[in-house]
Amino acid sequence: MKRNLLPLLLATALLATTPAIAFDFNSLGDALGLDKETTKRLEEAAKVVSALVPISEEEEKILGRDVAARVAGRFGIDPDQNRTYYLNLLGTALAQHSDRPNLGYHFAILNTDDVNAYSCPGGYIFVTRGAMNMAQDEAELAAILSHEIAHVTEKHILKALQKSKLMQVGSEVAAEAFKNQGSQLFKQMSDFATDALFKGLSKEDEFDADRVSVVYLNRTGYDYLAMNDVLKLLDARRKRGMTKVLAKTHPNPTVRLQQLTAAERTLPLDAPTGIRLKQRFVSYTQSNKNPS
Amino acid sequence: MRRIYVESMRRWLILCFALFAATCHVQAAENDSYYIGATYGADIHASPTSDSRMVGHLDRLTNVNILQRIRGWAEIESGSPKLRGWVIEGAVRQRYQPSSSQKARSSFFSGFARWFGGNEPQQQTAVLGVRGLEEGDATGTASNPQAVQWMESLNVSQDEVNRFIRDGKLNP
Repeated sequence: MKRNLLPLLLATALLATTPAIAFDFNSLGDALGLDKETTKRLEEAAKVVSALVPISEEEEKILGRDVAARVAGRFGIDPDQNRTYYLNLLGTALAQHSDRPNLGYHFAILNTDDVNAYSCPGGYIFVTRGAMNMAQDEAELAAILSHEIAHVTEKHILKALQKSKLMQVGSEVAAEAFKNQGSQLFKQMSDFATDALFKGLSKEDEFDADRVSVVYLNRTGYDYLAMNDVLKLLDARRKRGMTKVLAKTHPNPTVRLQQLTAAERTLPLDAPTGIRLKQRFVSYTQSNKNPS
Repeated sequence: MRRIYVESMRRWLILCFALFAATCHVQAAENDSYYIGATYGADIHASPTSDSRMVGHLDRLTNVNILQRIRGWAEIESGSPKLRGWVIEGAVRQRYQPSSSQKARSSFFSGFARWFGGNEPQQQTAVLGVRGLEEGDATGTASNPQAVQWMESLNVSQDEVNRFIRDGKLNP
């Protein structure tokens, strides 16, 4: 074991400083006289090293802005200023109780009646008009937003990107790509992040966002059971065949509800507050006048 | 002898031209239809709202006719399977329809390619309106940086957020 440790570390260190795009670990293992199992461990270690390629907050914003432009380009933006203002008030209030309160979030409504929401790196968050219409009170809309904020605070897309082959170019090349947004690598990174949004993140990331979202709801003072209610609404729509698109980007709401209910027993949550704010929600979303 | 040779060549040329023209005609008639372009097909609704009853589902690449368009929805009918209803307009795409001169040029080369075994020109597609909630093919997604600039200009002040929190009796 000790005999294998030194070449393993040397090779891993070598890889960490080499802009390796395609690396033949079997050849390296043969050259170092490693057995297959050790070579495999070496490859896994290299993956961990490549996953550590850092992405700064500024770089995250640059990527997020590009991805957000593509989401907006795909669906269009609902120009309703009153609703958008309300969405930004609510979203900012929630984000200030999140684990990345100073990121600077931006919220907008997508011009589609389908029910869905998207969060881009850097805090660019979209809710569809259909999702806003589905929510029955402010706490439920807050639950939808909290779920998306959680994807940003947990850096789900960024982590997926960091684990991808794209980042095996090394940190210096990646940093250059963020500076040159016309570069092929930046375009590939933006494609990757946009694909992750439209095809859906992993089930684990979705469950994670559900768990984190109830914590944010609870911190802000909303009834965190609103998240359970949103999942029930989605499940009801699924049974009527109205969420086929959402079903492709998110796990089954029934399973999400089961996972969330189990998690709620273990999370450090205060008792449900019962704050749902239906009247304010209705005032902002169904009136053309700002209620304040 | 010379006259027989010229007559023979003329017949061959006429025959070649007739065959070539027939090939071009078949190719020119293929480019007119609309089809479901969404990756996972599209749900067909009874009326142009997502809350309306679903009357069916069409798979990707199913040919459709567009009857009318309203607020981002398109009323379509499909021959196979027989279906009529409303679909998010972005899920429907039009096959590339070149101008008559382009069509003739395209047909010319495609006919030529058929004759000599080359690849036919790639069929292009154009997206109609705003795309629906389909997944995948992010590389083809149009970008709207102005929308992001607009989002960034919508900053709410801390005072406004504090008042929002206070009015809702939320946690500061």
